[in-house]
Amino acid sequence: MRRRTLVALMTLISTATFTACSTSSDDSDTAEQRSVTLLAYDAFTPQEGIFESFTAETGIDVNIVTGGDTGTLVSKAILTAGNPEADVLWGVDNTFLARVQDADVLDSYEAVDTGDVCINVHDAHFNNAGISKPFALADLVKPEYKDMLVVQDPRTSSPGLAFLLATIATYGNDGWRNYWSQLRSNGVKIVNDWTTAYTVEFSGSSGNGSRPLVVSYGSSPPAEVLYSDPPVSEPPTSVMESSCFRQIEYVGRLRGAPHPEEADLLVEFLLGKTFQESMPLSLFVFPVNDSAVLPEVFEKFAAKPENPLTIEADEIAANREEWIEQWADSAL
Amino acid sequence: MGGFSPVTSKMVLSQNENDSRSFNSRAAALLTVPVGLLAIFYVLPTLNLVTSVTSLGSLLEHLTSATTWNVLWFTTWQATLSTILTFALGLPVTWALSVFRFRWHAAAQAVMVAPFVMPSVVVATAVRSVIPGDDDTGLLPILIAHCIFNIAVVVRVVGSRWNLIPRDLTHAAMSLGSRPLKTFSSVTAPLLRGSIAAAAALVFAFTFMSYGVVAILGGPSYRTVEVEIFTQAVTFGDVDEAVVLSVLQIIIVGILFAFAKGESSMAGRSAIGNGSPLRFHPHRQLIASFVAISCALMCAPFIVLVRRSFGRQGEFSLGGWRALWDGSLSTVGVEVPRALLNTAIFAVVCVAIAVPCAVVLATARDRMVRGTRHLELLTAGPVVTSGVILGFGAIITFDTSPINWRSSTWLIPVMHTVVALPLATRIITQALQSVSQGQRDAAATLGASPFKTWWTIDIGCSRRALRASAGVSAALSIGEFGATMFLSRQDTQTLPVVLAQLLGRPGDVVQAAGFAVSLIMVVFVAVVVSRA
Repeated sequence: MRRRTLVALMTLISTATFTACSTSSDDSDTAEQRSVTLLAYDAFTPQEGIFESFTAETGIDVNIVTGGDTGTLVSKAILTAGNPEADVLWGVDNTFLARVQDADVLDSYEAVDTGDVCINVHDAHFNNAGISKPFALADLVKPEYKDMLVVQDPRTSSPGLAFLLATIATYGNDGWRNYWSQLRSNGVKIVNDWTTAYTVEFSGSSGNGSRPLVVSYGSSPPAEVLYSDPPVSEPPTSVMESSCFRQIEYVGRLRGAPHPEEADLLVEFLLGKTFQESMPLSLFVFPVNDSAVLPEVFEKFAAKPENPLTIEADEIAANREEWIEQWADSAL
Repeated sequence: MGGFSPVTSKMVLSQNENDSRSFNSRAAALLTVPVGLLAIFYVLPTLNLVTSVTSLGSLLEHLTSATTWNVLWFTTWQATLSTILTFALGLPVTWALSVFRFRWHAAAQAVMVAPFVMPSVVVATAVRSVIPGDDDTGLLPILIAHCIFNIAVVVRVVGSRWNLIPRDLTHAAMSLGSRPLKTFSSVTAPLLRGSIAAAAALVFAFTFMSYGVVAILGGPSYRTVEVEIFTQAVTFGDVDEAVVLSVLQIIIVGILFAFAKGESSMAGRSAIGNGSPLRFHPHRQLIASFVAISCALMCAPFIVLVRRSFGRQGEFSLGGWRALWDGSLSTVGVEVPRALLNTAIFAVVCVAIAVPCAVVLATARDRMVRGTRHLELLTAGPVVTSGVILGFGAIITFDTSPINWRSSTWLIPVMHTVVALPLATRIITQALQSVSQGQRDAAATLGASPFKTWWTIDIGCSRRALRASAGVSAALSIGEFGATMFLSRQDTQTLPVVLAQLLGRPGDVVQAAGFAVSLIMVVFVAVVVSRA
């Protein structure tokens, strides 16, 4: 009996392997069929069928290869610089850009989307307690907001780093360390990663945490609406716009790309109106193409700060390590 | 039957010697398979990566940085503390389980050993969900998780030795008036010494290289070397720093293993009989309740895991489970059924390569084929090497024809094999060592060829070990995260990769689905290991 199960299992597996092999051999280039490979982070989940119009127009098939977070992607891209597995790289942001430039990974690159890292607020908590919501970073060090904020460690988390950069952009080189000392005195909680902060410590999402203020994304409120169970029409959270730090993601042609012409056509498509309009609901980022129209849930609930905080990629690259060491001294 | 005359018996023996020499040389020839596997998929990529990314200068630069030393210091003392605590809690349980037999004995033993083969991320997530409030990160949760994880090592390594201590010895000491404590320190402890040293070294090494537990439970102030390696490689894309830290880790843990080996081999392999377990004891009830409580404590985190997979606290929802199959998670780039199938296929391939290779390595080691002692260093390598390095090494090495394998799916289970081979080999080596030479000689004298002797005696007596080694290889393959993360793509994701993605995203359903995936892994591993 047991042997029969084993045989069945082996048959199943060999069939599966065979199918996998035969499908992958279909991907190989033939003389007529052109193709291009896009390398992206795991969270790159474009709208289904979005590349069909590109293929119909140009005759080029698009293969999407994903692997890991942005950091993983950057590590892999640096290791394979000049001999890449793909043609186009999606998703390097302004905190990583300088590192990618140093390693000579890309032939050319352009901004493809923007997003913001902002303080998210659990509205009900403030309504129930009869306290007004904080409006500026300076509010967060006031006694009425004591023990309310949870942030990520900038040494281990990219939104954590973005929030540190937000404080540096706000208070400048002279003031930000003092601001963090005050945050510490006011009971800021520092955790390792976004997941812990948002889903465990924060009171406004899936966890049953105790802190009503968290560093997350400007697009987190619409995500709360789209992924709620049971469904809701309004998010339990809102965004503190003055705290938003702008993250810009880039798309570029990899140096040594096997299909450079196809790569350029794909980049053009990614910057075009069709793809740009699909990004908010599939990728939770904002388009850079001015002609793209935003979906309603984004219009209503996502943060659209007029003057988001920002720091140049070169300056981030030059100072990152020093800032992080100074941060550890002031905040821990 | 008259038996052999002295002359014929001598002839048979010398014939056997010739046969066995040719058997040994054939075994040596077969050795090229596992050795080649390790050389191509471990040594080559690792050396290639280290030499092309780091230099002596950058190594020294990191060695003089305060951050490196802070991380190293914490890593060392938490590992020391974890080891001590694991023994403090593990030894009494081990004692109860090895000296007594009671109802549910096998079940209790299984509960104690099970967490060891669970993916560390799952154990950590479970511990985290059971600790209330603000104390769910920090030193104490790390220590608790490390204990839950590693008690199995004490139960297995020390327990299997304790089982062998004849009760007559301790009874003799007692009837001569020795008190229990004195009996333990003067009779039992010396006999256990070697196994305790071996278990301590293993626990120390595992907790020193801890990733999943510390990453999830450590909070900002507590980071081990392995966590720092992942942070640099995964969060910041800093290849250089990640590789330097891994080299440091390989050196430190490598030295530790070398030391532990000397220590445990001093205990030798003197067979000391077989202790018959006790069924009666004046405090039998007390001991049984103690074991029951320990089991309950071990299970508690996993029960909370079940609860969390059904949604937020206070509400009950099947949304997380439904999302696994209805395709709604494809919006976050996750296909659970596919990941499940991938994980199963990789585990089967890993077992299919690892177990035969382990048998060859273990046989060669047992027969003292020349050079095999140095092989042990080679096979220990992957144990002390960060998964990040295995992944990076493969990407940077297998990138040009004819070895342009970096995007091949089969590379993933092969890397799993490299990770599983040391443990798989160790299990079979131990089994072969306990096969009695007398049985082999008897078979040979009765005319069995060396191959037949090996097959019926060595392998025949090691069937349990073969199954155990298959189970452990499968469990390691199912849980492997570091290398897989860098080598897998959307269509070759495995359960741990999917789990990391789910727990890293917002939304009730996604989080519940993450806990559901953890549970699937727990069940998957439990089924595989218990069948084996």
